[in-house]
Amino acid sequence: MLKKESLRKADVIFSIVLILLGIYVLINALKMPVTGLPGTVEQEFYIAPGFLPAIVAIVLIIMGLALLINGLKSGGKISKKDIINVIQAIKSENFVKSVIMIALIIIYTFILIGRLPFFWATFIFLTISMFFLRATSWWRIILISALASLIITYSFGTLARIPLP
Amino acid sequence: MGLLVFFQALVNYLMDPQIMMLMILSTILGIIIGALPGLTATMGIALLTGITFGLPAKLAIPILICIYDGAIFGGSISAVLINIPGTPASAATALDGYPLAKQGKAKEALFLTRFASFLGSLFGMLCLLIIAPQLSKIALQFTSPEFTLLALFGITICGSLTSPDLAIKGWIAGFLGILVSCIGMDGLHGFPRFTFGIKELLGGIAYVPAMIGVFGIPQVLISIRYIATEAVEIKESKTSLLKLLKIVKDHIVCVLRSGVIGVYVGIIPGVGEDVASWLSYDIAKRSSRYPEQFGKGAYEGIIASETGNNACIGGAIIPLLTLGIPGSPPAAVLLGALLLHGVRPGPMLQFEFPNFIYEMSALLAIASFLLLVCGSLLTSVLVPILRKTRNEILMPIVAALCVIGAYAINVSLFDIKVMVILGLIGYLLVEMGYPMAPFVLGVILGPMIDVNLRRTLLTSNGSILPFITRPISIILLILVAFSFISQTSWWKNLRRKEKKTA
Repeated sequence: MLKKESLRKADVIFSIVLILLGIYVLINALKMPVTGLPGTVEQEFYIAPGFLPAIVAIVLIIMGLALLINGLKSGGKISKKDIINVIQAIKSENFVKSVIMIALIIIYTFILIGRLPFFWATFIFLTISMFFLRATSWWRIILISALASLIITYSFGTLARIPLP
Repeated sequence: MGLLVFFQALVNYLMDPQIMMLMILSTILGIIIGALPGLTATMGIALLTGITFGLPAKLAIPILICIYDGAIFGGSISAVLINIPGTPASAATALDGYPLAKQGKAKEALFLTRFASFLGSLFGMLCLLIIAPQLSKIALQFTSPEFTLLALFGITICGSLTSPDLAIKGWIAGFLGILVSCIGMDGLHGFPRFTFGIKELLGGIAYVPAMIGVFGIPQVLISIRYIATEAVEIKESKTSLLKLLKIVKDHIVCVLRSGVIGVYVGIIPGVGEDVASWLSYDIAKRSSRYPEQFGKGAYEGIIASETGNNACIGGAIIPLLTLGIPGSPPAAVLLGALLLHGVRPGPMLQFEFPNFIYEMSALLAIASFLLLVCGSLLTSVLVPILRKTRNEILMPIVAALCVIGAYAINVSLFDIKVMVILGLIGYLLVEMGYPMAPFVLGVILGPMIDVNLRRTLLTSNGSILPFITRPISIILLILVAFSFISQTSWWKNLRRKEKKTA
């Protein structure tokens, strides 16, 4: 979790996202049909499909506003100094680690799987990610990745008979 | 009558070598999952739900129960040996467990955590056996308005109690979960909501991939930052078994009290083992004759927290089976697993599967004994594992397991993408201090609120009277309102003033 000071600033930004999300959901929920649905002859707004989404949207907007006000009150105002802090945080090792890992997971799930056989996709993902995290020596990484991919592929594909991608 | 069914189920399971073998293996796996920092009980059950999907329910459910019980105990091993709780449920155990290990009493501490966990599980099981059948009789009086409010109460109380930062963040997470549950065809008319023209979204977001995503991916991304710590060496114990058992006997009041606290916390929707262990620890400290020893290696401390967290399991299963509302985050995942295997927990369970509560109790009883046996065999094996396993190696493998777990249930590539996207959103939310348990409760209970809310209004012609005239409804409504109001600054100020005047 972020530190308390940065947390309030993050709250301010996220509250705006939340309010916008709420407005988007509310507009779409109101657009959903009220009459002419199968099942009942006459329709009322309270049994329309958009009823719960609309309520949730309103709740999210209210909570977003509360979060925004609380954030601004407890020192969540965003100043020039914060931009410098953000740049520093981006340069930190932990941030880079997380971003690389996210990128690798996305490449693995959105690009490799489905194009390559599951064993190879997993092997490539494991090898590269352990390599980036400097887990251990390169030959051990290759050995562990190959073994892990083999076990996963064998136990799911062969033992559990799941048609793997 | 109930007891007879319970013993029958117990004997049936014990006589089935296949089930027993799987239960032993899954208890071992559960303990390892719990002991490895970064892998939690919730995540373990979510992963195993995906992995065991192909098995019949009669094999898959025992596996999940053993994983649950084993993992909650397993966390204490790393708490004692490396001062990092393997699961959040063992955080309180580390406070006294690690000092004990440093004093050369690791073996004693591990015996006590194991025995306390065993007693806790057993206590929780007994409560499940006694309370659940009674509660399911009351649950029969529940109709649409009660279910709407009960689900809402589960989400809001879980939000209030699990949020690491502001309570409102827990509620936001819960409502975001409800919003996610609205995706797909609606339960009354089959109208597609928020599907953006994607046909895979028509069936809604599958909850197992969603659960694996929000619990698994953030954990992977956060755990890769940890640096492994040295494990304390285990010295041969000088204390005999009899003496250790005497320590337990001397603290029997603490065991019983923590058991009651654990079950009580378990029954509260969505609030789980971590809260149970902290609360048990806190109350043990307050009522102890030697509170100053807490934090320096008090046996009472580890006994309280480990009894509390394992007793919570039985407690959490009570509302899960009788009302369909999970009592803890791992139980929420368990609910997903049960639904997947065609068991629909709730008031109708007693008609659809009349023996289910007793079978579940029998499984938990066996799991408790297995925990005691496997735990003692595993401890010495786990030390080198804890020393050598590095998150840099483990976490990529966990990510791959999340992928296969999400895929296996529907054999769908789309589910993998859902898992990753929700996982990344979950990661951002976790970094900003939002708990994931209410989110998952929202996803699972959202359809219950949606359908029951509209059904209530349909039968009452739009009047909200059923919510405020039915006795159980009123109680639930007050509880929902209280879960909100108790977190406002106005209420907190009021309480502070009260304390001052008193």
